[in-house]
Amino acid sequence: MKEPSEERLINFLKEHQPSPPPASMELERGLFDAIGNEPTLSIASSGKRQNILPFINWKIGLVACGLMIGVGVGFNSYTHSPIDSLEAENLEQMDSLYAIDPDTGLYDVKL
Amino acid sequence: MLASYSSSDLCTCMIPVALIEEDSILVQRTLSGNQEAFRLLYRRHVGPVRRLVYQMTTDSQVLDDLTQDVFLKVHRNLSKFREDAQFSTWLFRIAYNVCQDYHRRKGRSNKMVSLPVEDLPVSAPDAEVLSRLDRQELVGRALETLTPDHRAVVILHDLQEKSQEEVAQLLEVPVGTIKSRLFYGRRKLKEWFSSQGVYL
Repeated sequence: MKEPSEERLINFLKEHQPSPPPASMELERGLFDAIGNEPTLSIASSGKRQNILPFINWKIGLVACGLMIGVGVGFNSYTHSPIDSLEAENLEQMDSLYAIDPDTGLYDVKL
Repeated sequence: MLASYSSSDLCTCMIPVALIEEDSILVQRTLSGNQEAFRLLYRRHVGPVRRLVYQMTTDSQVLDDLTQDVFLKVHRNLSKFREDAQFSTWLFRIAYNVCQDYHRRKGRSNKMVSLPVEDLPVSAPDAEVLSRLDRQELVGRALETLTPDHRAVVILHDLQEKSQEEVAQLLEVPVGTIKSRLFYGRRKLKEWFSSQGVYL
């Protein structure tokens, strides 16, 4: 419930509220020129951004998961892969030169 | 949803047929690249926006620049507009923010010359004096004595006849804050008018 003095105040404000001077014709032209001159303001691009955002939201996660699985599988197959012939030959050569000392449990040069 | 404006505001729209289409449809058409749809939105709302900007700033020198700024910001951020809100509320919020930015800039540059209300010249309590004064200017000066927060609430609620809930939504504050700002804003206006010899 408004007081009578408040009612009078509001009526006075309403009756004598400041009215803006008439808009110049340049205002609309200037605005649409500014919109047209700003390439970043392109509305079509804002639509494209909307299309990209859902991709970022869930497809990035999917790609990251795929990469992690790929790296894991690759590493696993690498560590369990058979020794190639060159490496085996090298190992055998090492074996012929060194032997484990039964007393110390360390590699030692074969005499 | 169509915005509810007074008949004087609607007179500023040059194309009445634009009222046939709802704001949300025009927003969608603008987002799909139709510039003419944005022109219709602009013509529909430019009157009330200019009035708000003018009453918030009472500076006709910057009125058109700030109005242009409002619509540029609207255009840039149109994709962020949520359909559940009323377009006019969203638009007025942007206009209010532009006015707030203007006051911040002006406040920084005019800090040394701003006068307290008590220092304003007091008119004689004379009807003749009042009749000589431009009453619109008097109301404009009265609004200038309010803080931007109080001024916005008085303008939106008392002059633009928006509901307290709508003003609360627009300014993103609780309804209780709007009631409080209205109370203190009106009280200050009454005091100022009394000091000018206008007893309401």
